Amino acid sequence: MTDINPAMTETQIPTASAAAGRSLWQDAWLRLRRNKAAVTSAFVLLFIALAGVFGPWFSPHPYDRIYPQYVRAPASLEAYPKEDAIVPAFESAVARARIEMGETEVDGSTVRVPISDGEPLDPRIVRYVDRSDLFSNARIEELSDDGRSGVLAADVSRIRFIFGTDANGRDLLSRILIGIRISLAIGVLASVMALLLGVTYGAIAGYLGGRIDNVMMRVVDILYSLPFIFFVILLVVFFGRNFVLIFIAIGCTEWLDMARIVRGQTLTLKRQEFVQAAEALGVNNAGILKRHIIPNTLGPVVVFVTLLVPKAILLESLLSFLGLGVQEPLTSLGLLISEGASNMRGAAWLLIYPAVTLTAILFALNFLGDGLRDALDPKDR
Amino acid sequence: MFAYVLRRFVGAVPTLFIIITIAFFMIRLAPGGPFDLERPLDPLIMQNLERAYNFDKPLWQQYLIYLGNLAQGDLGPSFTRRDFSVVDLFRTGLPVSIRIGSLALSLALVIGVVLGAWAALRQNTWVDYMVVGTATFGITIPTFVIAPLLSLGFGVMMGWLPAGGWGTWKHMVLPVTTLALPQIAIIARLTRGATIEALRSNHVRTARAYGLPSHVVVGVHALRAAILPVVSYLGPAAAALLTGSVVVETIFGIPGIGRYFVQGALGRDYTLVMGTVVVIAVFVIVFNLVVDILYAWLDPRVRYD
Amino acid sequence: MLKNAVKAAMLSTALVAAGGVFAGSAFAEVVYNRGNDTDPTTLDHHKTSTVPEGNLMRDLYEGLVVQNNKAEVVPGVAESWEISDDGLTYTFKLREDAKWSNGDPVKASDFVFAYQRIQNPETAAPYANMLYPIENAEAINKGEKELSELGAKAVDDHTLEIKLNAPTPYFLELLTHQTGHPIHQASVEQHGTDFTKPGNMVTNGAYMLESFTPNDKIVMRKNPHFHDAENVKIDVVNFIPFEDRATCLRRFEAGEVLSCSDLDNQQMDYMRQNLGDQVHVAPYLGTYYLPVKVKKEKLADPRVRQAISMAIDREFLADEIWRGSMLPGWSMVPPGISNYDNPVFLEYKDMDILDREDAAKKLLEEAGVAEGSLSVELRHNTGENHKNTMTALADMLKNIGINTTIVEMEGTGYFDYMKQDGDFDMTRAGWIGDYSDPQNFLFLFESQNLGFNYPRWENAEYDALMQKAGTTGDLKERGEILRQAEELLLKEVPIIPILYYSSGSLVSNKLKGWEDNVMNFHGTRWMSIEN
Repeated sequence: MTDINPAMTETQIPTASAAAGRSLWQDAWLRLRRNKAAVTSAFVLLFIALAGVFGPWFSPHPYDRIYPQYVRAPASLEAYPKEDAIVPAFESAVARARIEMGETEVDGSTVRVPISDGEPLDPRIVRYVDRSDLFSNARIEELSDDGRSGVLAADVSRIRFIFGTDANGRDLLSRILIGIRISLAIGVLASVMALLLGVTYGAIAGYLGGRIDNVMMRVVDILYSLPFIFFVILLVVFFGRNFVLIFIAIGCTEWLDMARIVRGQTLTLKRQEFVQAAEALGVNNAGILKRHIIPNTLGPVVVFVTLLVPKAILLESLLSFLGLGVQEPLTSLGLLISEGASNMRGAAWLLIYPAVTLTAILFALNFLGDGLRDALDPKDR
Repeated sequence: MFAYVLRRFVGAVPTLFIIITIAFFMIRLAPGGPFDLERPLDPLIMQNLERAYNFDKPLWQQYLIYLGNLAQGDLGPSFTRRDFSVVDLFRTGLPVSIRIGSLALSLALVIGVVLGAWAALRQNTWVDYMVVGTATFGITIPTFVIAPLLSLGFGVMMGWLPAGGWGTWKHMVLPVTTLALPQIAIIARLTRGATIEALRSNHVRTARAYGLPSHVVVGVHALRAAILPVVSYLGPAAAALLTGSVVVETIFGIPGIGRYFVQGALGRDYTLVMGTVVVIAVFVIVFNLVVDILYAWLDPRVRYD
Repeated sequence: MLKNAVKAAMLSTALVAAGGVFAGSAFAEVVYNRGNDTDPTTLDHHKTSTVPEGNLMRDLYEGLVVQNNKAEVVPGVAESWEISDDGLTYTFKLREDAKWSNGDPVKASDFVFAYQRIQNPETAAPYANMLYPIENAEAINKGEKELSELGAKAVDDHTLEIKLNAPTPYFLELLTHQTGHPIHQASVEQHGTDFTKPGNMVTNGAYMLESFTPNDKIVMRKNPHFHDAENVKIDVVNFIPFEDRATCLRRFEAGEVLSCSDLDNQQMDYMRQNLGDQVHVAPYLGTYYLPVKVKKEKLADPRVRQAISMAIDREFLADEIWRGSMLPGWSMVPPGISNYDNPVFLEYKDMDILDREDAAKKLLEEAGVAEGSLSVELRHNTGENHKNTMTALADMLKNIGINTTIVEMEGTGYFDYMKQDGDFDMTRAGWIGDYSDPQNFLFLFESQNLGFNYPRWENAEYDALMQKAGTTGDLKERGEILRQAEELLLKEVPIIPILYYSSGSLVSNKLKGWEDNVMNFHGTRWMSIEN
């Protein structure tokens, strides 16, 4: 009797002892894993989320670092500076030191120019070159004995901006990474907020029913008729712009749908035998809600959440378009896209890359949501 | 049915009253006023202005004055557009917004339902994937990107349609398309999901078993059930579309009422904001009622008493 | 283009058939679709204050004197005037053929009525102070004197006498502002506040109001009774409001509008490359500056403020952030202004930025501010380029060891906050001159000027200089006094000037007669359209 088929025990345990709910979740999990689109989406999301969380630490450029010499540099796999930009940039940097300059030579990654002046050369002139984003390690070589002439040399710094730079000269890739972090955070936090508020509120209203239900749902109706933008503008006006505020504002408006859905579910669940059994056993209201009602509404709720996250991200982008979004130097995908939209011509990369990123996230969330819905659909078992 | 509608309308009055009260005090508590422009006014002149518009009275008194005027259908003068009363502004703007919104809504409904049903009937074929893919794409691109792209493409580069402005039917094509695109996407997805479910339901199976022709089964039985979630979605969507879109109106330069809300709130045009809140609330209430009635008509299981 | 021409032709035949009044020419009427910044608050010019409103009023009304397309002051309703030797009395001789759009003659009493109305406290005119130089105007506006005591009198129908409180060298220019326009007494009295409605409104300019659809357009038609009507080439002007500059650009490219009143800073490069000389950038009388709250302990030392000012790379802001649509600013009074022969600038104007940074660090050290110990909040109102400007400023201040945070506020709350002595460190503000005189820039920072003096800077010497300039009639001497005042301002830097505004416009090659000028005034009556 020692060699019982392990598969048998596994299938036996849930049917025998565990709650029926667990097998629903396991079943859903199995079905979700079979859905290729959903699985791919989950991986894409995971990848993007990891990029948003860890990317900014690994990115070669801090998201708020300004490169004054590289304002609106187009996206390019090649490193900057471009060959033909080196000499003019070098000469204009040296010219600021107000000294005589000879012919500039570029040799691989070093630039050299003979310099001279009426008085001994001030060694501090190298900072004019060092200050430029294009050069580093500027030094005076072959200084003559009287110190009035020599060769100014500097190394060319090769920097890559594979997604280009923005109107302030900041690396777009780094900004997209931080934008992902903020947008996902807003999406998730706003959804969690809607979830907590909506599920609690809806379950209480549905379970208690009667007059209380009536009043509670009337409140939802009233809030529903107040326009969203009104809320947000007022919140921004009162409290200034603030990351926390944005997800609170979005969460505050999105929980209404959630409350309605959960209330509807609760109304049906209330009449089910297991709830009535619990009532007969004298379990108090809070216990029934916590133990029986809320867990059983989670199916539709989970699906709704996957729709809510993209909705929250898009709402944030609308706020950004209206100039009510997150505060510099932080940014969000929505903000990047709205900046990109105003630079559509002349600097198209500023629109394309953030837009592609956002589209990928929303696509993945949508497919995952569909997959979850199919997997959790009890009629389909 | 008539009693039901009447009761709902009567029930809406306290709702509206609460909304107006909340909105009135919230906007009044916001810092700044309608006369705080980039160029500040002389304090003396400011006083003259405030006196002229009753701002020197206590807030509760202003609130009562507002309610009194509202009861007579007077939404007050606009502060940022002083040649017009708020009612004037809605009289010219609302028809424009309704026209564009209803066109977009009808377009979205027809295309969305057809696409969604088609995808459902061809579930898991390339048609289905195409529809779902395009629909998802339609939801993900914000209107403030689509609108300038359309204007640029069809207005500036090809020159087929006006790049912006208002006047002829040609001016409506691009804004209506912009508004309809995301709605098409959502409606197609909703219809697809619901149709798939309906096709598996007992009464459709029964109808099939009786040997009814496929187009009758799909057209009458399946679609009737499938349209239900679309209808409940349409309530709030219609209210939102018909009261105008800030983004589309700004980018195409359309004289609807969608912009008044943001212009009013940012310019502290108290009466204009209040007017917009009232109009939007009325639309939401009315469309929720319409949806409930449609629901009862489409789904015999739902009854109102 | 053909399509539009056909449309215009059809429209005009319809109008001719309907009205029959303008059937003078068999040709299609000339229509000018003109982009404007926004809709006006009102068409009652006594209640207007903004630049886009000024653009409308310049076409609807004609003042005693007007500005031509080069913004030079030329006779308008007044054909000539005399100024008394003490500079206190102006006597205007009105032209006989000046008429209102309903055919009524324009009389001196129309001006008197208008000037009394704007000072009437009940009118609550936001720009009543523009005409305060007129005798008793301020007292009337405060309700201390009767309307009839105003120093503007109609001697007869065609002679107007205006008495001033003090010699005001810019008075004629001031009269070209919309607050100096007359108003049609009969229609104001008949229609009350509705006198601005199409159909009610009677104006005396080259154009008259035909319709006004909010957020769509304001249609004006040539005034057949205008005294110079034969030289007015454009029959209909549609003023179209564009809150979004990019929208105007697209419609300009599609040939739907012939001019845009502003440029989209984000697309400067694109426009320069593709639209060539249709992009107009002209010097403008405006300054973009940073008010510093001098009351705050950390910013009370002028050396700290000067150090901040030194570290700002104005060339970078003008060329990279604003893409050449602004100029580096080194003084509060912009260059090119009248009555100011010897302008003064920040003394480090010609120093290299790196040397300036060294000097700034030294100043900070002298003031006892250790590197990294000072942190300053930069506050700005919503606006794409304000945000970019502040982001760049933050980076520049980091170079001299000053930490910054940026706070963005929504517009109305922002200006209220600054005016109400809000708890800010540094903000941004802009000022566009109402008339070409340094006084109009320097009066902002007088101690008692609480509406404009955002930094709450108090300096008795400055106030005394401004006071003295206000009573000095000799232009040279007055200019010198004002110069001393600005010198003091730039030494103390309660405000840090960083940029001078330029006026940017898109002007189609087909639109003739548009001359760039420092006031950015472009009356439609001076323009014509060629196909």
